[in-house]
Amino acid sequence: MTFTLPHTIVGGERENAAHLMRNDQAVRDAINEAAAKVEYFYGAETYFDSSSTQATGWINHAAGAMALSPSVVFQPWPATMYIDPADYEVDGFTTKWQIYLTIGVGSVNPGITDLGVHLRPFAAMSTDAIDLTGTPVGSVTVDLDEPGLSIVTAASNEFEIDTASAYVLALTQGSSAPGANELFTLYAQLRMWHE
Amino acid sequence: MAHEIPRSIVPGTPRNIVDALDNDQANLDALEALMGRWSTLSQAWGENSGLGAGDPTLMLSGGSMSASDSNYPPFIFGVTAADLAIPEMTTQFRLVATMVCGVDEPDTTLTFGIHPFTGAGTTTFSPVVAAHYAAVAIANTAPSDVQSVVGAPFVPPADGAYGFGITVTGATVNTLDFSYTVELQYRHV
Repeated sequence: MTFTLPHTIVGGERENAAHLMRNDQAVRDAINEAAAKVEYFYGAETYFDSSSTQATGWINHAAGAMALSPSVVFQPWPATMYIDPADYEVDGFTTKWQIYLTIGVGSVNPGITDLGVHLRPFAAMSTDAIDLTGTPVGSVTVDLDEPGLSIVTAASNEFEIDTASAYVLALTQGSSAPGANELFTLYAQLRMWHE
Repeated sequence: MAHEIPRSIVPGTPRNIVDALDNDQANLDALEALMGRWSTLSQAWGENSGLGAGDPTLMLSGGSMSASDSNYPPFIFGVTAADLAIPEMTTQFRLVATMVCGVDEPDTTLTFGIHPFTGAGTTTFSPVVAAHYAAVAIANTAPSDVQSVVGAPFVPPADGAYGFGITVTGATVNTLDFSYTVELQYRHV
């Protein structure tokens, strides 16, 4: 056992009861802290280079230079997942979700602003593409206007998920497509905690 | 409330002692609820590239997902039950799978599972033992279909290395567009 609670056995019931109460609160504080620990739920990664087009689309798992368009023919490995929020609820706590981005920028500053990642539900395919008309439940936007060979991180605001559905991690187009020699990788992590 | 703290309230027990015992139970309930939520242990994804009927095929990270493709690493993870064990609680696993397909449905049943993995062959990631755990199946796919399945909880398998695999009832044509993601999750009850 790593942690032990302070306690003192004395003659009076009142003093012992006070110790019990303090210990109970210490246990609850520890539970609250454990619940608030951020944990991994899902991850998706891809990369962009000068062959990447510029439109809103879904994130492909390591599918190479992306064509970011929902109109393109169905692409492999979209970052889809099923989430039933009831499976992650803890009585007395609220489940919080967040998208956390880690972007590795190549040697040339891409100078792209407003590149976004969001999580949205979807229920059907539109011909050969994922229907991206669902309302995002959470999103984050980042500017890639950094010196080359840098790491950019960004976190969305915390959000809640109320509806059981298939969800997809998707991209929102930035200010421009990557130019020549402008390469960057993107890792999007969906994570959660309870508070 | 799966576990109850033994208590004995006798007449005359001071109120603050009763409160303390109630608090203990409330704390235990909260701890159990926290341990009982599902957490992700590992995940995998893949797309159709032509699957032979009845073959448990490993999912590979990148390229196609045929077991004969040696150019991409499979999704392999280790299971060590003791690493997840919590005294007085039972560890459970489950699989959650989501499949999306294009305008041409695969017309087969996709069964996802985790398979014991003992090593790589000369040119392929094999053998994959046919036995698998926690099968979750998706059938009756339709054009432009999205389906999700949540598998039943199961006891963690024996310690060792495992790979995500997929089995189909009928061979799939590699021109069909469908892909899927699978998550292995765990909890304590």
